[in-house]
Amino acid sequence: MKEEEPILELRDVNSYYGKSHILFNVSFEVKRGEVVVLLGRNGVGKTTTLRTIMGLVSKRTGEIILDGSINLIALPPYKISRYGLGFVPDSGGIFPNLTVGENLKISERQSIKREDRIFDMNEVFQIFPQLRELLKRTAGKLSGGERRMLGIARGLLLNPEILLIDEPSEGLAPKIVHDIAETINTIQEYGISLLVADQNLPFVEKVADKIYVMDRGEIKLSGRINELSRQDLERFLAFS
Amino acid sequence: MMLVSLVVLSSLLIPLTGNKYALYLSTKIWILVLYAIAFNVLFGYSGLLSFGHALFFSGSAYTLAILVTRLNFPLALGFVCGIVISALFSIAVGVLSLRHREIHFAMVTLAFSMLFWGIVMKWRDVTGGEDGITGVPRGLPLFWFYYFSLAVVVLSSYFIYRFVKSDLGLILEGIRENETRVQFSGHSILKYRLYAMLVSGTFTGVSGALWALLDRTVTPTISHWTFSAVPVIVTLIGGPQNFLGPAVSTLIYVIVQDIITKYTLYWQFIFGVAILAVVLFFRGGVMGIVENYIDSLMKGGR
Repeated sequence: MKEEEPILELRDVNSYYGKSHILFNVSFEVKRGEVVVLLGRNGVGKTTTLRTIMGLVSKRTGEIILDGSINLIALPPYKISRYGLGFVPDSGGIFPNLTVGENLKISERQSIKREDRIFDMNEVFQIFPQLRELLKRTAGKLSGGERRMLGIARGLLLNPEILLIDEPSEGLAPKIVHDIAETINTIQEYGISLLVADQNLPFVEKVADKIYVMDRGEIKLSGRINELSRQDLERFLAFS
Repeated sequence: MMLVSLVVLSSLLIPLTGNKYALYLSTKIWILVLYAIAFNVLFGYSGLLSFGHALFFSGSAYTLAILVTRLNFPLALGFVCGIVISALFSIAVGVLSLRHREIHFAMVTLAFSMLFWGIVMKWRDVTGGEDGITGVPRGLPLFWFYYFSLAVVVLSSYFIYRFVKSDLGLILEGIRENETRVQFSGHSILKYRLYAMLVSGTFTGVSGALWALLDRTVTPTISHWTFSAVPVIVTLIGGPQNFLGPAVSTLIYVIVQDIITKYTLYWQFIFGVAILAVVLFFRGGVMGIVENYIDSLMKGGR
């Protein structure tokens, strides 16, 4: 069955900032069409995991396999992006001094060659109608929720096979968090796989198919959303 | 846009005044305007401070002078060869320096330009050493040369304008704001920086070639690092985020320099104070002040 193939698989990935060892033998997989959530408190290595996959952590070892064949571990970020990995960092990853339109254009440009692309400007405005109204606005002047949406829109314009989103719910009002969850479900309906790092449990329960719980740079617990007990998850999110 | 065409049109009249010195000075201003605008492709639009643009400027000027006076090349061919050499220099320096950024990039570019300055000073047989090369023909009387320079500068600036406002220019601005984010948008930053370097260096070469023709002499002054500082200074004063910022302040720079040097030898001191004032109090430069003023007028009008 095609859906059962992992689109992305990490095998014993370690990464380092200078001399400090951050990730310890992290292994997990994202199956095609799934939403996988990395859950854990601040500072447990969720962001580092996403940045390692994108090639943004310079010292990294192990294997990161895309689509069962391509090892991304030694590639530079721009090549990893071109293989079909979109990344939305926790700040939204926008260019604050450029307009919303210019922000979108930077992502749009390189996807021109792809024939099987789903997302162009119009398709993105279907998902985020409010961005159309904000095209001329300087991105730095957007609200937190708008920034997050612009960031996700930029990720989609790359027409990724898999979209990595860091802390999409962080610092947002409950209503906006709800909207973002809906958006993630919409993106999944397009057949795009997602890897999301977050720590807001109600939000995670709305979007996740599978959860990997991280603590101190390691995967401590994993399972499908209905297999894990809420108590177990809360135990890892509580401050110790 | 209106204002730009007005300035360009009114400057068409300068030669008709018959004042030779004014004509010489205006030609010099136009050439330095192109130098500053070309420099700002790297500084303002790509966020790279080059401290070695004298290399591209003098590389082209010296190539032209050497080919025409020593090897009897036709003037037009010398002019083109000078620009081509600058383009080659900018690719070579770019490949070797663009992995670095900020102060490291500035230092690497400075090192290359000082290397060239050293060659110019020591290789007397070819470059004339400290005396430079005299007797470069201008090809046109100053009256017509002014119009030629004006046309070249306006056309080149227009091309640069189109470049920085293109998709490519947009990606460069993205790189200036945040390299990492451009990388995970699937763009190789080295490639785009090299484009910026090529455009910047080549048009700096155009201004250098014009300079050799205007002065009919090339001296090591234009390859010294102090000459690399000229576009840095005018861009800071004019405002790097505005396309015309460097152009406006070049005008101010040359005229003020011309006036101050009549009274004191220490004109650099006055400019030093001016730069400090701009950097400390008016980050947007002269054009930033003008923009703010226009903004407040518009708001007042409503």
